[in-house]
Amino acid sequence: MLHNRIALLRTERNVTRRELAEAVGVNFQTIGYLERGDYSPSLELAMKIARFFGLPVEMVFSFEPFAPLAAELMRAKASLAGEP
Amino acid sequence: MTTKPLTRPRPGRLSRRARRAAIGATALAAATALAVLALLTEPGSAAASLLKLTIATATLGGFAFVMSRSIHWFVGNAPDEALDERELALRNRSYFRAYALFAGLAVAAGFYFLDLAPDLGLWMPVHYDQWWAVVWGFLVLALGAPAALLAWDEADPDGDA
Repeated sequence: MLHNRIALLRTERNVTRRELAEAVGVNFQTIGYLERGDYSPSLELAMKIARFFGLPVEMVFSFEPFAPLAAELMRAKASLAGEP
Repeated sequence: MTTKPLTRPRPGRLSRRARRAAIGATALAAATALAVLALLTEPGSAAASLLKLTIATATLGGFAFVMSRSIHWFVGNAPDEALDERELALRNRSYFRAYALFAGLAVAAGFYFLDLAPDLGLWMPVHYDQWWAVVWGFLVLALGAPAALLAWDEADPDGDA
Protein backbone atom coordinates (compact mmCIF):
# COMPACT_ATOMS: atom_id res chain seq x y z
CA MET A 1 0.00 0.00 0.00
CA LEU A 2 1.16 3.50 -0.82
CA HIS A 3 0.73 6.10 1.92
CA ASN A 4 0.23 9.75 1.07
CA ARG A 5 -0.18 13.21 2.52
CA ILE A 6 -2.72 14.47 0.01
CA ALA A 7 -5.44 15.21 2.58
CA LEU A 8 -3.00 17.06 4.80
CA LEU A 9 -1.57 19.12 1.96
CA ARG A 10 -5.00 19.87 0.60
CA THR A 11 -6.23 21.07 3.97
CA GLU A 12 -3.08 23.09 4.55
CA ARG A 13 -3.48 24.88 1.22
CA ASN A 14 -7.26 25.12 1.36
CA VAL A 15 -7.75 23.20 -1.86
CA THR A 16 -10.92 21.16 -2.48
CA ARG A 17 -10.89 17.68 -3.93
CA ARG A 18 -12.58 19.00 -7.03
CA GLU A 19 -9.90 21.67 -7.55
CA LEU A 20 -7.08 19.18 -7.12
CA ALA A 21 -8.87 16.68 -9.36
CA GLU A 22 -9.30 19.24 -12.14
CA ALA A 23 -5.65 20.25 -11.86
CA VAL A 24 -4.37 16.70 -12.24
CA GLY A 25 -7.04 15.46 -14.67
CA VAL A 26 -9.01 12.90 -12.69
CA ASN A 27 -12.51 12.65 -11.29
CA PHE A 28 -12.79 14.23 -7.84
CA GLN A 29 -13.91 10.95 -6.30
CA THR A 30 -10.56 9.46 -7.26
CA ILE A 31 -8.90 11.99 -4.96
CA GLY A 32 -11.05 10.67 -2.11
CA TYR A 33 -10.04 7.09 -2.88
CA LEU A 34 -6.38 8.15 -2.96
CA GLU A 35 -6.66 9.94 0.38
CA ARG A 36 -8.26 6.93 2.03
CA GLY A 37 -5.57 4.63 0.63
CA ASP A 38 -8.15 2.69 -1.39
CA TYR A 39 -6.31 3.34 -4.62
CA SER A 40 -2.59 3.62 -5.44
CA PRO A 41 -1.90 6.10 -8.24
CA SER A 42 0.16 5.54 -11.36
CA LEU A 43 3.57 7.18 -11.48
CA GLU A 44 2.17 9.82 -13.83
CA LEU A 45 -0.67 10.76 -11.47
CA ALA A 46 1.61 10.70 -8.40
CA MET A 47 4.03 13.09 -10.12
CA LYS A 48 1.22 15.38 -11.23
CA ILE A 49 -0.07 15.59 -7.67
CA ALA A 50 3.41 16.23 -6.30
CA ARG A 51 3.93 18.93 -8.93
CA PHE A 52 0.62 20.53 -8.01
CA PHE A 53 1.80 20.89 -4.40
CA GLY A 54 5.31 21.92 -5.50
CA LEU A 55 6.93 19.10 -3.58
CA PRO A 56 9.14 16.12 -4.44
CA VAL A 57 7.05 13.03 -5.00
CA GLU A 58 8.62 11.26 -1.99
CA MET A 59 7.27 13.99 0.29
CA VAL A 60 3.73 13.28 -0.87
CA PHE A 61 3.87 9.48 -1.28
CA SER A 62 5.67 6.83 0.73
CA PHE A 63 5.72 3.06 1.12
CA GLU A 64 6.02 3.63 4.89
CA PRO A 65 3.37 5.42 6.94
CA PHE A 66 4.18 9.10 7.43
CA ALA A 67 5.02 10.15 10.99
CA PRO A 68 2.62 12.65 12.56
CA LEU A 69 3.43 16.20 11.53
CA ALA A 70 4.01 17.26 15.16
CA ALA A 71 6.60 14.50 15.63
CA GLU A 72 8.40 15.52 12.45
CA LEU A 73 8.44 19.17 13.53
CA MET A 74 9.88 18.21 16.91
CA ARG A 75 12.55 16.11 15.19
CA ALA A 76 13.39 18.95 12.80
CA LYS A 77 13.57 21.43 15.68
CA ALA A 78 15.85 19.12 17.65
CA SER A 79 18.03 18.64 14.60
CA LEU A 80 18.36 22.38 14.07
CA ALA A 81 19.24 22.83 17.72
CA GLY A 82 21.95 20.16 17.38
CA GLU A 83 20.28 17.75 19.77
CA PRO A 84 20.76 14.00 19.13
CA MET B 1 -4.78 11.49 -19.15
CA THR B 2 -7.61 13.92 -18.41
CA THR B 3 -11.29 13.39 -17.83
CA LYS B 4 -14.14 15.40 -19.21
CA PRO B 5 -16.21 17.29 -16.64
CA LEU B 6 -19.17 15.05 -15.92
CA THR B 7 -21.82 15.00 -13.27
CA ARG B 8 -20.66 12.22 -11.01
CA PRO B 9 -22.04 10.90 -8.76
CA ARG B 10 -25.58 11.16 -10.04
CA PRO B 11 -28.05 13.11 -7.91
CA GLY B 12 -29.98 10.87 -5.52
CA ARG B 13 -27.46 8.07 -5.86
CA LEU B 14 -27.77 4.90 -3.82
CA SER B 15 -25.47 3.90 -0.99
CA ARG B 16 -23.50 0.69 -1.39
CA ARG B 17 -25.88 -1.15 0.92
CA ALA B 18 -28.92 0.01 -1.09
CA ARG B 19 -27.15 -0.83 -4.34
CA ARG B 20 -26.37 -4.34 -3.13
CA ALA B 21 -29.93 -4.83 -1.91
CA ALA B 22 -31.38 -3.69 -5.25
CA ILE B 23 -28.99 -5.83 -7.29
CA GLY B 24 -29.52 -8.87 -5.08
CA ALA B 25 -33.31 -8.49 -5.18
CA THR B 26 -33.32 -8.06 -8.96
CA ALA B 27 -31.07 -11.09 -9.50
CA LEU B 28 -33.07 -13.25 -7.10
CA ALA B 29 -36.40 -12.21 -8.59
CA ALA B 30 -35.14 -12.80 -12.13
CA ALA B 31 -33.68 -16.22 -11.26
CA THR B 32 -36.86 -17.31 -9.47
CA ALA B 33 -39.12 -16.11 -12.27
CA LEU B 34 -36.93 -17.76 -14.91
CA ALA B 35 -37.00 -21.03 -12.96
CA VAL B 36 -40.80 -20.84 -12.63
CA LEU B 37 -41.11 -20.12 -16.34
CA ALA B 38 -38.81 -22.98 -17.29
CA LEU B 39 -40.18 -25.59 -14.91
CA LEU B 40 -43.76 -24.88 -13.97
CA THR B 41 -45.72 -23.04 -16.64
CA GLU B 42 -47.52 -24.66 -19.54
CA PRO B 43 -45.73 -23.84 -22.79
CA GLY B 44 -47.48 -21.16 -24.81
CA SER B 45 -50.00 -20.42 -22.07
CA ALA B 46 -51.18 -16.96 -21.09
CA ALA B 47 -49.43 -17.42 -17.74
CA ALA B 48 -46.12 -18.07 -19.52
CA SER B 49 -46.54 -14.97 -21.69
CA LEU B 50 -47.38 -12.84 -18.67
CA LEU B 51 -44.41 -14.23 -16.76
CA LYS B 52 -42.06 -13.50 -19.67
CA LEU B 53 -43.28 -9.93 -19.83
CA THR B 54 -42.89 -9.59 -16.06
CA ILE B 55 -39.36 -11.02 -16.12
CA ALA B 56 -38.26 -8.72 -18.93
CA THR B 57 -39.79 -5.65 -17.24
CA ALA B 58 -38.52 -6.51 -13.75
CA THR B 59 -34.94 -7.31 -14.74
CA LEU B 60 -34.58 -4.34 -17.05
CA GLY B 61 -36.42 -2.06 -14.60
CA GLY B 62 -34.37 -3.16 -11.59
CA PHE B 63 -31.16 -2.79 -13.51
CA ALA B 64 -32.16 0.64 -14.83
CA PHE B 65 -33.13 1.74 -11.30
CA VAL B 66 -29.69 0.90 -9.87
CA MET B 67 -27.77 2.29 -12.82
CA SER B 68 -29.72 5.53 -12.99
CA ARG B 69 -28.71 6.27 -9.41
CA SER B 70 -25.03 5.49 -9.62
CA ILE B 71 -22.03 6.08 -11.81
CA HIS B 72 -21.69 2.42 -12.63
CA TRP B 73 -23.52 2.22 -15.89
CA PHE B 74 -21.46 5.17 -17.02
CA VAL B 75 -18.16 3.73 -15.84
CA GLY B 76 -19.05 0.36 -17.33
CA ASN B 77 -19.81 1.77 -20.77
CA ALA B 78 -18.12 5.13 -21.26
CA PRO B 79 -15.34 5.64 -23.81
CA ASP B 80 -11.85 5.36 -22.32
CA GLU B 81 -11.09 9.07 -22.63
CA ALA B 82 -14.02 9.93 -20.35
CA LEU B 83 -12.62 7.88 -17.47
CA ASP B 84 -9.62 8.41 -15.27
CA GLU B 85 -7.04 5.75 -14.46
CA ARG B 86 -8.83 4.49 -11.33
CA GLU B 87 -12.13 4.14 -13.17
CA LEU B 88 -10.42 2.34 -16.06
CA ALA B 89 -8.77 -0.07 -13.63
CA LEU B 90 -12.09 -0.61 -11.90
CA ARG B 91 -13.82 -1.32 -15.19
CA ASN B 92 -11.10 -3.68 -16.34
CA ARG B 93 -11.39 -5.65 -13.10
CA SER B 94 -15.16 -5.85 -13.37
CA TYR B 95 -15.07 -6.93 -17.03
CA PHE B 96 -12.55 -9.63 -16.18
CA ARG B 97 -14.69 -10.93 -13.32
CA ALA B 98 -17.86 -10.75 -15.41
CA TYR B 99 -16.14 -12.67 -18.20
CA ALA B 100 -14.94 -15.31 -15.72
CA LEU B 101 -18.46 -15.62 -14.30
CA PHE B 102 -20.10 -15.80 -17.73
CA ALA B 103 -17.53 -18.25 -19.12
CA GLY B 104 -17.82 -20.45 -16.02
CA LEU B 105 -21.60 -20.56 -16.26
CA ALA B 106 -21.48 -21.16 -20.04
CA VAL B 107 -19.13 -24.12 -19.53
CA ALA B 108 -21.30 -25.46 -16.71
CA ALA B 109 -24.45 -25.05 -18.84
CA GLY B 110 -22.79 -26.76 -21.80
CA PHE B 111 -21.70 -29.64 -19.61
CA TYR B 112 -25.20 -29.91 -18.15
CA PHE B 113 -27.10 -29.74 -21.44
CA LEU B 114 -24.71 -31.88 -23.48
CA ASP B 115 -23.68 -34.53 -20.96
CA LEU B 116 -25.45 -34.56 -17.62
CA ALA B 117 -29.06 -33.96 -18.57
CA PRO B 118 -29.27 -36.47 -21.46
CA ASP B 119 -27.33 -39.14 -19.58
CA LEU B 120 -29.16 -38.81 -16.28
CA GLY B 121 -32.57 -37.86 -17.61
CA LEU B 122 -32.52 -34.41 -15.99
CA TRP B 123 -34.56 -31.39 -17.04
CA MET B 124 -33.90 -30.01 -20.52
CA PRO B 125 -35.55 -27.06 -22.23
CA VAL B 126 -37.90 -28.33 -24.89
CA HIS B 127 -40.49 -25.69 -25.67
CA TYR B 128 -40.00 -22.15 -26.87
CA ASP B 129 -40.84 -20.66 -23.44
CA GLN B 130 -38.26 -22.85 -21.73
CA TRP B 131 -35.56 -21.91 -24.22
CA TRP B 132 -36.65 -18.28 -23.80
CA ALA B 133 -35.95 -18.56 -20.06
CA VAL B 134 -32.46 -20.00 -20.64
CA VAL B 135 -31.48 -17.52 -23.35
CA TRP B 136 -32.92 -14.53 -21.48
CA GLY B 137 -30.97 -15.53 -18.36
CA PHE B 138 -27.72 -15.56 -20.32
CA LEU B 139 -28.56 -12.28 -22.06
CA VAL B 140 -29.22 -10.52 -18.77
CA LEU B 141 -26.04 -11.96 -17.30
CA ALA B 142 -23.92 -11.01 -20.31
CA LEU B 143 -25.22 -7.46 -20.56
CA GLY B 144 -25.67 -6.65 -16.89
CA ALA B 145 -22.88 -8.45 -15.05
CA PRO B 146 -20.02 -5.95 -15.60
CA ALA B 147 -21.95 -2.92 -14.37
CA ALA B 148 -23.68 -4.93 -11.64
CA LEU B 149 -20.31 -6.15 -10.32
CA LEU B 150 -19.04 -2.58 -10.40
CA ALA B 151 -22.05 -1.38 -8.46
CA TRP B 152 -21.75 -4.25 -6.00
CA ASP B 153 -18.06 -3.64 -5.25
CA GLU B 154 -17.55 0.08 -5.35
CA ALA B 155 -17.26 1.80 -1.97
CA ASP B 156 -19.32 4.90 -1.28
CA PRO B 157 -17.38 7.95 -2.43
CA ASP B 158 -16.65 10.92 -0.19
CA GLY B 159 -17.77 14.42 -0.90
CA ASP B 160 -15.64 16.95 -2.72
CA ALA B 161 -14.74 19.21 0.23
